[in-house]
Amino acid sequence: MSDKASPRVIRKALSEAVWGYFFLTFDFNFFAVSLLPEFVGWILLLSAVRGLEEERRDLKLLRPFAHVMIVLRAFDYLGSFWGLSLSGQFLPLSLLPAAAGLYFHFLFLTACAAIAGEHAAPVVGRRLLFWRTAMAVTQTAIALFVYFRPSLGEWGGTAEVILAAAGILAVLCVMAALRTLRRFFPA
Amino acid sequence: MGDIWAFLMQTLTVSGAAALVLLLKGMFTGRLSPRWQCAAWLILLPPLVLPTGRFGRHVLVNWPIVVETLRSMATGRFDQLTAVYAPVPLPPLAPPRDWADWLFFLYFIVALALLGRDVTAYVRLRRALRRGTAASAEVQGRIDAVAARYGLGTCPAVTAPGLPTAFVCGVFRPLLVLPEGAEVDDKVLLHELLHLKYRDAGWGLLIAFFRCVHWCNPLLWVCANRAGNDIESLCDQRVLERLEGEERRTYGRILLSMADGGGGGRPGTSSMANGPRNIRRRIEAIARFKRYPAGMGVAAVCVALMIAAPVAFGTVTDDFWDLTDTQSTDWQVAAAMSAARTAACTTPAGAVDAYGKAVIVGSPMYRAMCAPLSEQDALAEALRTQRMNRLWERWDSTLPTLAAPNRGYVVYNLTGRPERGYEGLLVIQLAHAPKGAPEPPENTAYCYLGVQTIRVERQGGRWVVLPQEDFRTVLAKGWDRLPSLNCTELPCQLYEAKSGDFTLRLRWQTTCTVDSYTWDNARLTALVAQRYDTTPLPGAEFTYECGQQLWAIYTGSEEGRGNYRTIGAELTRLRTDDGGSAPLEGAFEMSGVTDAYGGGTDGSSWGTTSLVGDWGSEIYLSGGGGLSVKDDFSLPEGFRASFFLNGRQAAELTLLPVKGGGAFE
Repeated sequence: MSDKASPRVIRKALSEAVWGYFFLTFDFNFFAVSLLPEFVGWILLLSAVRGLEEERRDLKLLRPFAHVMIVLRAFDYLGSFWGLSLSGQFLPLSLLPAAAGLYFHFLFLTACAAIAGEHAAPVVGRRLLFWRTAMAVTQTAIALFVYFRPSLGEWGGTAEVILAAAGILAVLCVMAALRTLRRFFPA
Repeated sequence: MGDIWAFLMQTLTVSGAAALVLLLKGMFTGRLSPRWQCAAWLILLPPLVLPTGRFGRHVLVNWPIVVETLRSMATGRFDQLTAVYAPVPLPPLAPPRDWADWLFFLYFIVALALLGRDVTAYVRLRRALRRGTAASAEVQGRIDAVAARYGLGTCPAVTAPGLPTAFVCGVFRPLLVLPEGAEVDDKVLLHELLHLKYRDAGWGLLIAFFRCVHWCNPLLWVCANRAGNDIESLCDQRVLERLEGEERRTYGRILLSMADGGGGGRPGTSSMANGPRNIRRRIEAIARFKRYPAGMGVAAVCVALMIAAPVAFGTVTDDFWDLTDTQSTDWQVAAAMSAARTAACTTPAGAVDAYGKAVIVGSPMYRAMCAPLSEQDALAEALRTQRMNRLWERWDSTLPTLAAPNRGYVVYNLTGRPERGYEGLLVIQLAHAPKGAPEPPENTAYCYLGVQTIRVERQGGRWVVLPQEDFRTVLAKGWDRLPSLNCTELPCQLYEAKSGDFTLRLRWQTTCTVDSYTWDNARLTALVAQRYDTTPLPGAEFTYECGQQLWAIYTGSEEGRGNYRTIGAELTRLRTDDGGSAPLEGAFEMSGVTDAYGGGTDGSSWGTTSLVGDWGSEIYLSGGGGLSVKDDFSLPEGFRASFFLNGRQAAELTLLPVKGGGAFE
């Protein structure tokens, strides 16, 4: 157990993860300037990954994904001041980061659930696994929605709202579960 | 694929998807198991087996623009559109006429030769194996024991001389082929029996087939090799999942021993030894066994779906742009015309929208979107020789002068059906009076309209607009903006019926519009204004509005006028399905109701008027209308009316179309 992270480090990493998801999910604009840029969220998540790597070696696999997402989102953020954006310009440039993001969140939360299980918080672990899966499924459903929307007719708008709400709910529940897990590691 | 351009479109589409799959697999090497790495190749299946460009969609990259641009640059023609009818090459039906036909002929011959070579090699192998020696009872017993231990099926086994290793041959009548005189380890037998169980030889056949179809595409050769290796890697994983401890290490050593030998299977076979480079990759994968993150099945499926969906369904090809630079190069002209030609108008409303906006802004590109292929060469020439002047005249749409800004267009009296096409009157408000236009009356609101009869029909999967005449000028009184329904200066359909001293006359007029107004939000000043967006919407739908006005015309004597105190009617549209109609009920149940009217959105209406004083011969009774989205714009067959005089029903009438009576002329 000597190579395991200390409780303080784990607590700090979980705090960073909560704030990371906050930055990824919510946005407030002052005119055209985003006050909660997404790339900051990815920086926080990368820091969380580094903090938890000693507990779960699998998390090392996520570092390159986090680096790429930071670069892409930082470019988008800076580019927004000049009306430039990579998103939506070239479909593969949107698909691959989306796939990387989905994998990142899934593995990260799976690792957090395993940490919860190892530190006498199995209930929190199960909650994390459930909402992790819900997040992945809603993300995928939202990505596929554009292909099925025409067949939904007048229900398309309602379905879109429901999916978006489900996605936000899943992230909020993940954030709540991570905060709960954090309490098991004293400061 | 019937020509070289169709092949180019298909192979580029597959290449784009293949590049994406390779990137994806590279991203997830070491992160997702060999099972997923192998399954990821299934993403490539839709672009391989389905003709590209179907339903006006492209996969990932707008390859239609690329191919059409190359085609136009190479041939100097713009009146062709590449169509892919099959994902495999179809035999040329006519002798080659030009270099493109010769190129396709060469491609076809080589593809056929490669396919023939593979088929011949397989047939020869099967014949040779049929003459081979059946495996001894001892060997067969070992095979059966391995199969029984791991719960697998078996197949007949033969031995053949000169083989480096065992392999399975065939899909429907498989044979397990063993090297003659050599001891084959149980793990090798397990490997081959797993190939048998999952019919991997069949996948090998599919890979070989598409390698022949896309023989000149080096990227797909790379993918074919990688896919074959991934099948072997997956089989290795399946073997390792069934082995334990030292057996796994032994398996790795067996694989390593094959690295020095030859490799690469023949079509229809699966072999453990598939070349030194591939074996090295497989050993690296074996070293990662059990180190892949666990519990990632859902993520693997989600990632695959996220990537597979856009590859399978494609994206609507609607990229187009308006070249305004008068110094455009030839390839820019070719690219812009290709973009317009491939951005197919998928609905009649989309075609009309492209045409209307082409006329409004004077854009040959927008016109190219909805023009027949036969007109594309002339449009390209107009674009090439355009000159910039104060009026930005680049294409002569015959509109007498500039279109009024921010007004758009309206289509009046559109009639027809999807299978027969449509006809209507395109109406555009003009910015000012054209030369020779009639003077408007004083102190009256008015506007000048450019009107043109157009026909909309489907040609080869595209909706196109065919102008039936040059634009004419019409002065519309009583309006200072683009008129809406019941414009008396524009044609309508008349319906009439007589009853005694009165003739009931109904004026029927319709409009079709595409919603193109957007809100412009100026961030700093918070001013909001509606702006007419002149960007065509190739997949638009019409908003259809029908309007009717019912008049009663008095045709009796002057003396007879005193007999009438009130007049009224209620009207419903004749239904084509049952020929009947359901009149409004209760409109005249209210006693003492006069000088009132109303209407429904189904084309029904009612009205009643008092006839007092010196009433004119034309009495307005009612009007009505409705909004809908539809694609069947047939004219009403007629209307049924209940006609009332002096508060009592005088007649049940059927108003029928008046022949030649202003009918949408």
